Amino acid sequence: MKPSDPPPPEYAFAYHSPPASGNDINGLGVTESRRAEHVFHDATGGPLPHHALDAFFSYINPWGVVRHLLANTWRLRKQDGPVNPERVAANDPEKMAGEIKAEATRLGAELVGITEITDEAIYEGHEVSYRYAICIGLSMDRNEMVHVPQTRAAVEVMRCYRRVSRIAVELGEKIRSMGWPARAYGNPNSTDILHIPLAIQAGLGQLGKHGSIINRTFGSNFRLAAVLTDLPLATDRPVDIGVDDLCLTCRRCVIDCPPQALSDEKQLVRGTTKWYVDFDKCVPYFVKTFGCAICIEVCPWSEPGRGPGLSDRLLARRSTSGNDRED
Amino acid sequence: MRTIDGKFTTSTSAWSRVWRDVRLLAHLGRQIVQYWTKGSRIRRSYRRKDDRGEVYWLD
Ligand code: SF4
Ligand code: SF4
Repeated sequence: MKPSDPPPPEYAFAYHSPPASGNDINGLGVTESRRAEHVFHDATGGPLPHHALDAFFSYINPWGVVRHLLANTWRLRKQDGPVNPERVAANDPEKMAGEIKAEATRLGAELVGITEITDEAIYEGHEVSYRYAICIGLSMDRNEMVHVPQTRAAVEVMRCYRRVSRIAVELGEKIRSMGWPARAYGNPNSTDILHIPLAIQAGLGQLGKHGSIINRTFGSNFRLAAVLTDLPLATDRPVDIGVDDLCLTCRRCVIDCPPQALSDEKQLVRGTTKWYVDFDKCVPYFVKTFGCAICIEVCPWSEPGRGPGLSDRLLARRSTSGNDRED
Repeated sequence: MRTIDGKFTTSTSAWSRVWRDVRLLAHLGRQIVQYWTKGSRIRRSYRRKDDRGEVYWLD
């Protein structure tokens, strides 16, 4: 698909005194491993370096987006709550994981994976006392998302966050009713955790050149929420669906990103070499267009029905011809 | 306009949950009012400057 009439990367907003580069705060080029820091949005309202841009963003967003955000905030008031003092025994983590996944699916989740929480998925200055994360994915309506970067796509993004938050909140309530602590996290109220690293560890997909997660079925056309819990659960493993094989030669997202925020090379970020989005180039455009999302929708993996065949071909090609890559 | 974190979500007793809901409703109400008052002014000013090729200063 082609983006729908994207405006040029020219901005009628600016800082007199620009804050520190978001790339520096993100640890671009930093060799030591450390936790990520909030740059732009933090639900606690803490004074972040790019707070003024975030505030401006929230005011210029159309009401159609804002009303979903506010409704989601209302929903997420139940992200935590009382735990039933009578605890259901959980001696078989494998069986329990199966039951929890079935419950998440019953609540409407299209993707569910479980992982232990690692340091790289927790923001600097935040603490998480839970052991496991149940990562939940829900696809966006592609008929709306093909209109990126227009407002109707931005509305669909927020609508999807609202729907996936509901699933996380209800799953958290279910786990607490079983006598185990659980806390639901839905965007944009996920102050403590980074959803993408958790979802990758939980086997929902791999990181693409556009800096988002790519799933075999939905590509990047989905949104995440999570439930953190101590309920003993069997964990999933990261998957290899061939994302790197395609990203190393495909340039779709790089070409279609109006402010040229994507790079063909992986970058060193906080001690790890990975695909990285240039914050200082992406975020102004993201603000101007109320969420952009061009890169995730033009990605071939996001085309409905294309992912499974693509993955099969990439993996088959790798096993037969070593380093061959698909264009 | 801000979203929330744990400050509205950790209530355990029935009464504290009611109180949480009241505080959050007030918080959301303030956000809606701000969106339509301060936000309208910001949106108008930004659009005007955008049309004239001027800059809206964030700081
Ligand atoms: S979201 Fe950012 S990286 Fe992706 S296309 Fe838009 S500006 Fe580029
Ligand atoms: S558009 Fe191409 S390069 Fe970009 S993430 Fe998707 S597959 Fe990778």
